[in-house]
Amino acid sequence: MAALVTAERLSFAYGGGQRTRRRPLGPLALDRIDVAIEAGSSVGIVGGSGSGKSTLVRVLCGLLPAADGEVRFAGRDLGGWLAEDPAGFRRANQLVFQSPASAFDPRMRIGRSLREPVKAIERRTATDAELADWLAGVGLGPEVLARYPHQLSGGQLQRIAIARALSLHPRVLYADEPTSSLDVSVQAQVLNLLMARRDADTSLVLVSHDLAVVAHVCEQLIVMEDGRVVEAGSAERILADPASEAARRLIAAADAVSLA
Amino acid sequence: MMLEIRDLTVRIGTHEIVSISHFDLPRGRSLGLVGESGSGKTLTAMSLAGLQPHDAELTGSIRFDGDEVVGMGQRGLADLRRHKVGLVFQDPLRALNPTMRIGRQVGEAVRLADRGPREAVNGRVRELLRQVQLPDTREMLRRYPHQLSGGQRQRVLIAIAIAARPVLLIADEPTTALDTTVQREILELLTRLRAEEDMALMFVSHDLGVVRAVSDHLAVMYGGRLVEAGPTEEVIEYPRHHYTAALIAANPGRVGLGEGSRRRGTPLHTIPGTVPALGAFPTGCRFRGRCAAEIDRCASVPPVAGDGEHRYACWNPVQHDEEGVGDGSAGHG
Repeated sequence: MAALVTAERLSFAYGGGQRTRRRPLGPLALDRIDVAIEAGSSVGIVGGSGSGKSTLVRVLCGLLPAADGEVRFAGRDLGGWLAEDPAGFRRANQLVFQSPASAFDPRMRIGRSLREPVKAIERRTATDAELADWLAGVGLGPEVLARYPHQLSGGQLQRIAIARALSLHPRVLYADEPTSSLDVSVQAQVLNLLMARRDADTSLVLVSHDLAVVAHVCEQLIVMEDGRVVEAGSAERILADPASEAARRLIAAADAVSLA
Repeated sequence: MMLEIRDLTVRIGTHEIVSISHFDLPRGRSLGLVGESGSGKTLTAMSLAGLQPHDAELTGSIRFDGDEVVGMGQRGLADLRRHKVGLVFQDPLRALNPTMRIGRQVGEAVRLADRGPREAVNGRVRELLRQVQLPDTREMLRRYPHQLSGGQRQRVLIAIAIAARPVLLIADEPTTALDTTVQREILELLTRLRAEEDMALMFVSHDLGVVRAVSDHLAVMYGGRLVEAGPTEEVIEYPRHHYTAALIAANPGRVGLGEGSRRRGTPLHTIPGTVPALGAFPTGCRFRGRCAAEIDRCASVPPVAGDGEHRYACWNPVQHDEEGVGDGSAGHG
């Protein structure tokens, strides 16, 4: 299977801009990364804080420009595509963040927030039936449409954020620590939802510091440390027989607080 | 008994946030106080040290080494916090003074506990740093909090908390903001310090797995009430309250592929509905309406049942068959 998203020797430095001959990059947040995400796969990116996992996701979904190296989406250069057709790019790449409370405009009712992406990208107004359908897909009823964000729980808001991201039928759904601010029983709802909505048309890239979460959801793993990919491949293989010290440490830390 | 709670209620405005009829904590025990957001676990733990919000109203009794904490004056509470109870919070950056060097902050805690000559204070500061596995160098003493990593800051906070050799260390989500690998180190440190100092540990967390790693006893809160308490392994293996069982079932399994790993990609157990807003909890059992095993009697407050140390408040507890496997009625939803 051809990879949908690929990065080759991708580097990034905060505040660094593009690499030029005269001006080298500052400290690298991403250091010559090679990754490949296949269509319809579920990929977990794990690592400690500062390992570069969130930065990688932000570059892959076009929120930060690559400073060096190549990122391609279905063979197409990411930077070029984003410059020529930002709407098309955004439609294909959606992101869900850690804090659902800051992902919604507090002054907008949920219905309006939920309509925004389709309005901005597809230039049309989503019908009430569509809204109800999207909400049903994340286990919520249409009564939340009239609510404001502060009237909903963190778990409900995160599910709505996922519904909003999926409303554009993205090819890749990126989720950056989507359950870190949620309670365990609510985390289970959100993870179930992410697992259920991943299919042949929508790949899932899940970033988490919690290996137990990623191990439950993802078939593929990318293990990061100090801005580098230290190990990547089948989750089953890496969990059973980790090759890197970083993966071994993460597994030991997760098993130390396991309930099984 | 070091700590005895009887008929404790904590009210804020018209809402009764915590209601605990009976709870004891013996000297030297490590207890995990578990609950999700809004369960009242933090308010309970803070009330033990007289650190509840100003508008909170306590009734009932909290006896600490025989002294009544409810209604205790500021002087008494300050004394309690200075000598008997150490506190560690989730966010060490907010708990430390950003303008003060580490050495001075730890030294302040040492002097508050026991005034002594400067050399003795400095010696004790270095000893504390060694105990929390930080380098006891001059360079470390001269650092400011922002020059430390999150894990190092939490170690400094722990050093301050144990400076007075407290009989109880209350740690409220001390590892929630940390990386999993750093979390593991801090949990090991707390476990070792608890044994070395022979102090009781009350570890407050939303995460059962984390609590299991540090505590030999467990108390589970929901809706401001204790729903189940007992030896950690027994409660996790044979939960009797349906909320406890559901909480356990909601956790992803073991990471390694050994026994106990859940199947990747299979749905995790969820709890139907959401935690009600303050004041909107049902009468009787507070888990009513979200529980799969509800019966008519649940409309009245369930009595505390159970034998030995394993106690639970449920009219229709989870049954475990002879092989010790849950009957499967818990946590499906």
